Amino acid sequence: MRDNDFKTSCHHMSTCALTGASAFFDAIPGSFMLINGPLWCYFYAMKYVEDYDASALRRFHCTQPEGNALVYGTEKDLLAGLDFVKANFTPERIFILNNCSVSLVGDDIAGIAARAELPCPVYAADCGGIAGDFAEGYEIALLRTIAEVKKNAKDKSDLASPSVNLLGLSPTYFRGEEDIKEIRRILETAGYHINAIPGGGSAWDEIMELPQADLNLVLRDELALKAAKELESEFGTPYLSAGMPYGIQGTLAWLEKINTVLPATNLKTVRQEAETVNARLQFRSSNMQSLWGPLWFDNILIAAPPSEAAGIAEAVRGEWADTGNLVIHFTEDTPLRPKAANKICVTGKDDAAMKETFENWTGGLVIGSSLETSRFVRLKKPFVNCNIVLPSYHEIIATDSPLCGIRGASYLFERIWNAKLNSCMEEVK
Amino acid sequence: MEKVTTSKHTHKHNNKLATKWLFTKNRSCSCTMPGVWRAVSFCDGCAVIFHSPLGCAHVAMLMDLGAQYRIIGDHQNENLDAVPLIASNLQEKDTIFGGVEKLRGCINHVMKTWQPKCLIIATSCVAGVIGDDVEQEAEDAEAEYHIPVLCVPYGGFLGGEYSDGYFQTVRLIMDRFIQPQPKVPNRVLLFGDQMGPCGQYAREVKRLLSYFDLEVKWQFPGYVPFEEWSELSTASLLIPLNYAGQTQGGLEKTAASWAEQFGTPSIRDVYPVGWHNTCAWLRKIAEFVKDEVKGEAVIRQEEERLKGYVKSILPVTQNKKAVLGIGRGPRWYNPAETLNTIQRMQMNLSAVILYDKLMDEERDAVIAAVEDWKKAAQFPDIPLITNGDYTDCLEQADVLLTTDELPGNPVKQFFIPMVPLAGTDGELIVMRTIYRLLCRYGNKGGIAYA
Repeated sequence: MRDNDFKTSCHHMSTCALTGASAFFDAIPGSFMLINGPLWCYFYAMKYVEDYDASALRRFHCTQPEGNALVYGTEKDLLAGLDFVKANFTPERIFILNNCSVSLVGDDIAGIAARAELPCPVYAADCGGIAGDFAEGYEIALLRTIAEVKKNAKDKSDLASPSVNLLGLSPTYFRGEEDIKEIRRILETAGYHINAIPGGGSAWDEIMELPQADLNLVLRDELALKAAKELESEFGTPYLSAGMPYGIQGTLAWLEKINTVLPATNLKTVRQEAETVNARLQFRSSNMQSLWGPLWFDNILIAAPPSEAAGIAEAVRGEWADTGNLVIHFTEDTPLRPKAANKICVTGKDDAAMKETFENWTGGLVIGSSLETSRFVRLKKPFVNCNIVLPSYHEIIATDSPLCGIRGASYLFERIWNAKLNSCMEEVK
Repeated sequence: MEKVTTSKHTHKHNNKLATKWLFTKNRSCSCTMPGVWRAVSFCDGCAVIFHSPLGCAHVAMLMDLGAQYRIIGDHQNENLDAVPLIASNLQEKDTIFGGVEKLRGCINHVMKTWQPKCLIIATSCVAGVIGDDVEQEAEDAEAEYHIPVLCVPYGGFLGGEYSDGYFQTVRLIMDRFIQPQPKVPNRVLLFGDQMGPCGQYAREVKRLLSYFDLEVKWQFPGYVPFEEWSELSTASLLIPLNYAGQTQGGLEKTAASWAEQFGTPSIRDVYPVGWHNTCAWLRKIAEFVKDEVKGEAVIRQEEERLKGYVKSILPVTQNKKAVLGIGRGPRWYNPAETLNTIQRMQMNLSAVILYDKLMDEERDAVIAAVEDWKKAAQFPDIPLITNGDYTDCLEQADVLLTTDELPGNPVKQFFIPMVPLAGTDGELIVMRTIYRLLCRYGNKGGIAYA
């Protein structure tokens, strides 16, 4: 993160590191998260995770330290919190997550936890907002887990090959669980063995086997590139920054990239599936265009983290819709510069330009979150929209359609077409 | 104790009903910064800086977003745009060398990008711990940019609750920008938030005031453009949007200060939440406009609306078994209003149950409030269950009116709103939601919200 990212909430911004770390640890079955911080921070992090995982509200608790604890230490509050967990739950492990102000206190968390005499391991991490946003928190949690992997490292065995770990996935993303399933499906169809998906649902024991894989695939650099480098330096496992696969051509290109580094055993099946689906979409598109005209938008705004925004920008312009002006609002800084974009802004860096995007908007397709639609509603600007990231207040997720991969391409194609058609119908009502 | 294994975790089950949340509000449960933000969030011309990590601004943004979509869900066309909220992005290294430079850079960035006419700075717990002199920075910024810079250096949760940040901002605005001046007849100033001008509370108050030819000009603090702050004391009546005199002591106190400082009469000791209180409030308004006859006519007219609606739903609600479940302390909730609604709908109250999450002093106060109601309503035999033995009464209940969701429980649940619903319309909304819940086949998500 750059020093001078004075991010404005008018534009897209991310949750804090506490939430990112909570999301990572929550995705490990059997874990209990004890937030060492005020109720406000606890509730915020827990609620974010609970939106996709209903069990979270029974797997999180908080120590609620008083102001004095920030001077004299949180030992009393932490011991009370651990006692509460001991009395009411039997988790396989407890993660203590210090919020930003508590992390400044410098308590010996491991020592305090030892005094609580818990029947399960306890791991601690400083992951408050001063550590950064969701991505940094997730990264801290992943690296903390890798520290345990190092302690438990075994010699590499003859696992099914070619095998990969998937790094940088989280079910807390918009349709995140569905994306994880789709990526796994495509890779397994291509013949890869999925060794572990830390933070994406893998069990603790599976995560401890991370060094067994042939390759670490980094799906979101902002979440897992540092961890992949750590795994390479510690265990010699190579990594590939693959990004997320969007659109049919995008998914095939993504798979080719992986195949170049670690050859697949069954690419043909995925290619055949892609061809079939692509033919179906082209046919449907052609039929609809004969009735409604081209899928044209005067403007397209894509507002999302780099991994989503860059891939979807290429797919939307390359495979689904036409426009004269595609603008990307990256919610994190990135070196990515997709060719599909006419204008690229980065939150915190190009606030004035982003303000202009909203104020000068004349209508079109908004692919982002409820935050962008909120701005356009308040500015009384015309738009149609399709959510791809959180927060999502005006769209329910009930089906298992992913955004990425081949199934995701069909889903987004359908969503964007329906956005146009609904808009046409609204105009004549 | 019985151990229960779920798909993802194992926990102990103590045979008591589990409310949705594990926590008890035994300490500071919120943060001052979102309160500061909310106090000026739609005041055109302002900008707000949180001297904090980025995530703190995200929390406030999500609160605002949730409120906006709730308003849209209520079919209201919100037409206000929030003012910029910017986080100074305190990071780990700032905790060693101090975050003042960062704040200075942020102020400069805000002035360059948004050119606000008034800047408000709130500080986080991190800024509080590292001890940045934010007040000095605010003074320096004021001198440099020649605009007012207000500072609420409360250190996030360290300095109090959401309401402390909110009311301190109000006090700063009152002290600095508002002077006593001649009043404009029939001009009303609403005081407080309750979801803003498009929220049910403000809409209903405006509707009821219109009977008396009183016109609401502003809703202060959050919804008045900066340029109009100095005109606020021209209002001839101040109406705090409070709730039963319990929840927002700060609002009542600040309204009293306003009345004293600017000589504006206000209606402070009764609020239009619940039908009885609405009648009392309408009489106060009638007294203010010196037209008691009109007041009684309005009450009769509104009561007819209530009666007409009750008549239409009685075939469904009459003699249904209702249970009231309370896990919210008296600071946030007065059970008498819900109990009155149950009575009005002619349902049979079979029990009042108290959840474990209430702290001892809260429990005592809630018990006293329920006992008072039972005595006044002459229902001395309604059981008040405090020992966790709820199973039988919930199994037999047609509906549970509850302050807390009981996840996984098959009983039909009506969630008693956190934000009070005001006036006749508020009462109608509550009754309509309960009626629709009683009409419901099956469970459909478990809980109904008004």
